[in-house]
Amino acid sequence: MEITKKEEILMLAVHQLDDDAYGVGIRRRIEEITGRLWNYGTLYRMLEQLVGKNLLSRIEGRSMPEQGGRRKNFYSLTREGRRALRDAQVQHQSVWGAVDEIIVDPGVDS
Amino acid sequence: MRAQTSGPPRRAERLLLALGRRLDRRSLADDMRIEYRKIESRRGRPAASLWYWRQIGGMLPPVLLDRLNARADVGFSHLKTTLRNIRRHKVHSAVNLAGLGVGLAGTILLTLFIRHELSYDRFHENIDRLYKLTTTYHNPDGSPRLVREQVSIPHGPAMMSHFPEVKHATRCFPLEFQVRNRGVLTWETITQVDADFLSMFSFPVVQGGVTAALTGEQGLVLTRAAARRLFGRDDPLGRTLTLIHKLAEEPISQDFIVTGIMENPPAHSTLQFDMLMNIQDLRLFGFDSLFEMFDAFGFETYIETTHARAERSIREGFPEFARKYYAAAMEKYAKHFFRGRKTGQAPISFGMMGLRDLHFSRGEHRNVVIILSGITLLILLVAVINFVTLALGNAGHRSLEVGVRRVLGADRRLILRQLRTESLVLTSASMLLGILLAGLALPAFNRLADKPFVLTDIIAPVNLLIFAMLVLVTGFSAGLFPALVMSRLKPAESLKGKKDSGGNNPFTRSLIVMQFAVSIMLFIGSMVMGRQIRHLIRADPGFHKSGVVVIPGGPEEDQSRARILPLLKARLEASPHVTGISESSRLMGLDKYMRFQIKAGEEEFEAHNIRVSHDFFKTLGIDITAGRDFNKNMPTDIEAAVVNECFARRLGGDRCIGMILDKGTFAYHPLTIIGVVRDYHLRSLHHEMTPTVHYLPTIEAKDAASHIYIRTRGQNLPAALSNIRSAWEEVEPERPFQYSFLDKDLDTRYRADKRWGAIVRISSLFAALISGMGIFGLTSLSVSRRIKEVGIRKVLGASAGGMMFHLSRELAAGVILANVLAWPAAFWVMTHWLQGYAYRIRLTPWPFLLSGSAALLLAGIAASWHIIRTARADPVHALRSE
Repeated sequence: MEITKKEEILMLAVHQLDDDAYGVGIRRRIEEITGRLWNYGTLYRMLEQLVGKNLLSRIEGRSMPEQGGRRKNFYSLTREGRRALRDAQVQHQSVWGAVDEIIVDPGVDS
Repeated sequence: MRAQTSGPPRRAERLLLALGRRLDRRSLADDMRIEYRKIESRRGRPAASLWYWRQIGGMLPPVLLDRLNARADVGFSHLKTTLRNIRRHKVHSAVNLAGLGVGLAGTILLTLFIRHELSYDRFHENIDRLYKLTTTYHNPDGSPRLVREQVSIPHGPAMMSHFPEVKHATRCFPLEFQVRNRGVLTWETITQVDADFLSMFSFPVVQGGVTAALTGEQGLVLTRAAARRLFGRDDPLGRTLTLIHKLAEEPISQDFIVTGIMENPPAHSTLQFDMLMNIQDLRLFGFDSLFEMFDAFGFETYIETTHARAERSIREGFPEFARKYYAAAMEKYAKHFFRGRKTGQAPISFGMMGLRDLHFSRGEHRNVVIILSGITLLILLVAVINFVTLALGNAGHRSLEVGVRRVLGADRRLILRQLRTESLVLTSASMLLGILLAGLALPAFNRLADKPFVLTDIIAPVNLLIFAMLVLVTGFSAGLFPALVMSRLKPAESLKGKKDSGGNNPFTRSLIVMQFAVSIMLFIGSMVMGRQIRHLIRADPGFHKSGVVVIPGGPEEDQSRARILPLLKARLEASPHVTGISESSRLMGLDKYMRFQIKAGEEEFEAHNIRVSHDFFKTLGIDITAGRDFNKNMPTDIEAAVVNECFARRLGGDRCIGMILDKGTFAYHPLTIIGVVRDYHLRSLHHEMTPTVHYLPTIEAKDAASHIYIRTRGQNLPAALSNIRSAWEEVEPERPFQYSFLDKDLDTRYRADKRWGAIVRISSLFAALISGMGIFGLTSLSVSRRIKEVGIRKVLGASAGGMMFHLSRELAAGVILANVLAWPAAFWVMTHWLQGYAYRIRLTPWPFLLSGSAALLLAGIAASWHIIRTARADPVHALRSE
């Protein structure tokens, strides 16, 4: 299944966090990858869409007293999700593999 | 573990939870709460709040877009199903569409009319601060006798200097002038105003500065219509017009220059004028004394206050104002009205009337709007009821569809929404049809209602808004009942084909009855109104009216009129076409005439006064019932009076001959009654007969009997007219020959009544048409449901005629019930309406019976198509249909 760039970034973050992928963590991870802080609403909306497309699965966490009674829901890649991410990686490599040189930052016109 | 007391703003969190309904919103809210606390501890609460709100702002667009998409999917499917359903039930949909479309067209036109009535004078920017000044005349006991929207000439300027709250004042009354334009003489009506006029009212000036136009010496402002009439296509600015006025023995001529051009006053303006001049220029014609005359009331005057709430303090200041400026006038009027009795009451008081209320202060306009609004609502009601009954009728046929939907998992809400979409789509289409029909009917409607609407008025933004509201309200309410009924259906029953929910339940039947009741009411109304109006027009006014030529008099001050009649009479004596000529100080058939207090012996009452010349009664064919007519050979008749029977009855009938009337305030001598004439309708037949006294004009009477009545033989009117015209041109070459026919004049007095009749007639036709269509659609459904029953009955030996009776029995019962409901209501309304006429028809049973039968007939015709077809059909087809 084709995924968009944003979905790719999000799924990559979930993949890297492995067992610890929940809302705040994913958001922080995305910031590390892209340098951008996502809007919470946007993040959760996209998580919902990916669950709906069966690319992510949600594990309802238990209530944690040390966190003030809040529940954490964890996300992980499904088989389809893993395959989609893998496809994206292969595609990137095949597209970029043919290009040897590093593309130079054009800088700012002066 | 730390106890957390602070958190994000509660309202923001609630919004977040609402927005995140389809998301993992608990986690979302928890995550954001944690982050919120972090920011709060680092940068304080406001920064954290701001951050929180910005987060929500950021998620708003994508989330709303998601919602919209989900909606649109469902909506699209609804729309598809709707179109499919419309196509499947073509006749039903067409009838439904047409019925509502016709109803909405009627509603649109009536809305235009009502809005136009309501918009009177609203175009003035200062409307809240503009007032018309009034004078109230009082009875000796202090009660008000008469309110007139006129004051004295110096009243306005006096108010300006007395009340600080009065910012501007302008007089505004018409005066007739003879006008010489490049050698051509015409009579023109020129409205006298102050320089403030143009800044107080928002009449657009086309050429010439607003202030400059009236402030210059001897300038005239023309409306486009006047400019066109006087100068054709030439540029009117700077042109000269010579104004001639004959107040004194020698006419005075003055040259005026056109300094400004204005748009014609809009149709919804109470103030109407043709040409304006500065009232100060009247001094040039010898009117100087008028500007100090506090005891002559007869001049419309308007003021503008400094602020909108100044009315009260001005009203409270009126008594003091009256004492200051009107002391002499009060004394004089107390003498006139109270006959010198010391009552301690002021004979006159002053008031003001907001320009906003001016149009509706005339009761006639208010009633028009009230009755028309009622009719509009009735038509709309009939159209909506029709829509609902048709939809309900169809419900039976659609129960299968609904059942399948329910089985396939649609919940009630979804079915409700589907049905609502259908009704909204149909209503919108009907609205388009309605606008189209209204546009087509507009020219006819304009003629009928005497309004200047154009096509773009229909689609004016405000109207479109009203129409959109109409669609929504009609669509929702019309879709509601059927939707409720259908969505309640139990899937199992509807799949089994139980179809008794549509068309035949008490609710639908009562709707049909109501629809017919309203139609019958409108029928009865239009018939009664039609009869009453015919009665007014055809009723014998008590004088001869056909073939009578009227030459209306000019301005009252014009004494030169007095010499015309004898000259004209001498010249027309030889004409074989003219049988009589006389004159009177009153035009016939108006609504209002001055009344004066009459005192004869011990009796005191009010009466109309008319100055007439000799032969007046003979010319108009009014019989003398006692005593004698004025006689040319008796010079003492200058102190004689002829009264009508109504007058005589107040004085004990014919015994009144010889009685002497006080001269009162109307005559110059005491008058002796010498004769009684048969009652005739001086006023239109809306009014009661009033005591009336006739006497001959005297030299002192300034307003001579100036309206000339010439009775012709009637067989050869053109010849008679040409005789009169040539006589007129010899006698009065300077004045154009203007005339009218008495019967036509009287007819125009009833124009408003005629218009009424027509509007109600057309409305009732609308309602009947819609009801008819409804019955047509509904019988088709109810009959098709009973095809099998009919088949069985026919096989068992029922005849076609018997079947028809059987099938239409139910319908007839409904219409008869509708009559029972409509008759008392219509009787009540029409009785009240007829109260407005002093001379009214009696309410006979005929309009009621005729309307009832018409409704029955209509229902029969609408239904018969289906009933006959079904009743005559070969039962084999019916029985084989399953």
